[in-house]
Amino acid sequence: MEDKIKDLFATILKIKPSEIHDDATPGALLNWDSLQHLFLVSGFEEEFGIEIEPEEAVDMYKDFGTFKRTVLSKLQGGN
Amino acid sequence: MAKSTFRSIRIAGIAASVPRGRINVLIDNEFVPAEDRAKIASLTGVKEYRKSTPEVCSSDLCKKAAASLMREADIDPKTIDAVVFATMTPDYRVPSTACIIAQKLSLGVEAVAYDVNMGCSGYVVGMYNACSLIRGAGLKRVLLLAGDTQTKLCHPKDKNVVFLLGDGGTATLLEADDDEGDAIRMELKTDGSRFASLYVPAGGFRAPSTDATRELRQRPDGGVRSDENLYMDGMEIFKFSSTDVVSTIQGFMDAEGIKPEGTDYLILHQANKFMNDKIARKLKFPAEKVLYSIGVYGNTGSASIPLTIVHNRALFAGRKGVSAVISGFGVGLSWGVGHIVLDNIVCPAIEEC
Repeated sequence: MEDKIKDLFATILKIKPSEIHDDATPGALLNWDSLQHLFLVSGFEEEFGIEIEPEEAVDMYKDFGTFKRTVLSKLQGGN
Repeated sequence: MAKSTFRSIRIAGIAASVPRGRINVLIDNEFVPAEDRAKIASLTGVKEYRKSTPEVCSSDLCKKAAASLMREADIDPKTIDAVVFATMTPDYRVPSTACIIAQKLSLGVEAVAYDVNMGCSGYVVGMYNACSLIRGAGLKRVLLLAGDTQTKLCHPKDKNVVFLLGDGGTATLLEADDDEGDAIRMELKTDGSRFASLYVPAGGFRAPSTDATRELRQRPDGGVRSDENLYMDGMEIFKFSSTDVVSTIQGFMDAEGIKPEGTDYLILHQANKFMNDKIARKLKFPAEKVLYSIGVYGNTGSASIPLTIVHNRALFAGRKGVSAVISGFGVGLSWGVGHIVLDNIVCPAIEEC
């Protein structure tokens, strides 16, 4: 599942999955700006059928690790 | 605490005007690839918006709306006691544009006229002012104008704002009413510590206009703009809107005993559809009660709430007791929420300017 999350993340940002690490931040990853972040949130909601709360969306803008953990938590039925 | 209940005030009518020029988000703004334009339109909900020509200012749009409203409601301009103009795009730095509009509308020198320098919270802050003039100062009839030409504030190649912001002007007539009726209830908040997350950095008196402030630069957030263009920290504003604004609306509704099932509509400042949908869901308003105009007019700053009402005029014009929770939020940072009941309002069709 983690690979699937990374692949979708990379596809939306139009970068290579190999460029993405858990500590990668918006400042370090090409294309990850606030507008693209909303694309990421809506893209993951659509692809995985999850609902990401606004506060979570803000928190997910910290680094890829946080983004991934939030998605995984949602997929496991977490709030 | 700026939380007030204004009794015996009637919202008599609301009108709106937009520029003729249309920007199609899917076709125009070609500096962004077509695929991305489609994605942005899908996310923000903005398919097109109106852009004024250099000759048309916010005041012209509001004047047109006001003239339409006064004509439709058969109002003698000399009976209007005050004009409050909520805008962040005035005609001049000095004087208040409201003074000029009052003259153009033939209101006469007996009327007081002033601007409220606010953006997306302008309608609720302006309404609070207008209600205070009626209930506090004893005026009978106040014209609230709310409008912005934000396309003139942003650089046409700043992808962070150019797909969202449009131009529009509105007029709302508020009157003292002998009938107690339904009160206008409002709450306003302000946090100036975060002003720099949404502002124009230069061109005022703190940082006067120079060659350097007018220089266009590629910014780390991907936008192209000068220091005299509007800057928005997208994530900060998203955070502000989805936390402070939501908690204020929820707190207001709880305190006032307002529930989604007992309210006809939720009319939010038209920030962007992705965010507004999330706010509405958090407030537990069903989608059919959440009104939009953003698809065809974009985010029109202080005009967005009344423009949304006029865009959906079939739901309001001539109908009794239509209740709405309204909320504006933006530059300042400033935000507010209100509960209004629209009773048989005059609401002419949107005019072009």
